[in-house]
Amino acid sequence: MITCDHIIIRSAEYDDAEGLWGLYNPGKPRTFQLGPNMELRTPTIDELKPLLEDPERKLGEFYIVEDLEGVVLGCTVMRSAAGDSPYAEAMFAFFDESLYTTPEADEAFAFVRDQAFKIKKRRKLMAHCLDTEPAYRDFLLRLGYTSNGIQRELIYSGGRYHDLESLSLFPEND
Amino acid sequence: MNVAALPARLRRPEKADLAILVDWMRDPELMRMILGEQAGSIRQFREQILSILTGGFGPALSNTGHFIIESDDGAALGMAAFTKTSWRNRSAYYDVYVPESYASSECLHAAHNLTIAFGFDELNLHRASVRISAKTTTLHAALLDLGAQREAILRQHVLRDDGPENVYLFGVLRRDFAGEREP
Repeated sequence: MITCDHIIIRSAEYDDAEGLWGLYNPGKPRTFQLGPNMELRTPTIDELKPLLEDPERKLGEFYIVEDLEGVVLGCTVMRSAAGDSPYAEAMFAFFDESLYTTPEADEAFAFVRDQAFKIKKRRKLMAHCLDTEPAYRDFLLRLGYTSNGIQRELIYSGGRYHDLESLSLFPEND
Repeated sequence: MNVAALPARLRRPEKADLAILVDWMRDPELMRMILGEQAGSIRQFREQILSILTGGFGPALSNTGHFIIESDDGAALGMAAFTKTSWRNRSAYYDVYVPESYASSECLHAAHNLTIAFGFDELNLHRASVRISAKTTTLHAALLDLGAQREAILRQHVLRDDGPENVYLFGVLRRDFAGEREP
């Protein structure tokens, strides 16, 4: 558990599944829901529980972001962080999207950036955002991510296709 | 470019293809296609080859399938793979392997044409994506010719012997596909 100025970051536990389930059912598509096949997933609480404590980290390295009172604000996930992968992918998901402009989000990002570049020694930190997530995109650009381009009509949800943008951050962007 | 110069089709691999696959196994490009960018062992490679001969879109919801590219006169010209296939999104990533003996720009163009057409006409995809090395610039033109768009450049995305290398991501939508198709 790491205590910052505005948030507490800790590893996800089995019991977090119920609280996090809402992030998988946001009412609109979010990149947080994307699985390895680029399909939007809505796991049940029962399916989510073992994944949060999975030693193989099929969901990635899953961290809970809480405020200093212990209220869960959201989570951040780092994927492809195992082995000799040259890059990792980060996701930042908050229940309240207005948090993307706050110091709380910046501290969560700083934690993941340090994990990726200083601890895991990755060369690149990737992120994705859907065309339904303008606030998330602004957050990533503000932190130094640059766009790699947009994959057109990749994700199907709500009766239509959505574009998926990929973004990258290199250590020299810091 | 005359795609019809290479009359060919995609078919599922059979056990009888083992000899040709073993022959192709010497090529690191095939290993990269089968195992992905992360280095794998020869044992993993062999196991994957054997699973290819007995699998591939057989199970209804499989998301990976490998196909032999075969000429009309029965010669195996290469291999096509669909990975990360999402039946919900009707999208897939594909890759094409053509051994050096066939690796002319015409053959590569035709192999990509066949693979994309198979994705739309047989797998009912809405979109096909392919990742291409920044070095294979002749292929870029062929993909644009087929109706694909260069949608993203993934900088320093893979590690090669001479260091990090960019990867170009091309995508083609069913409505934009301009390649040759079966009548």
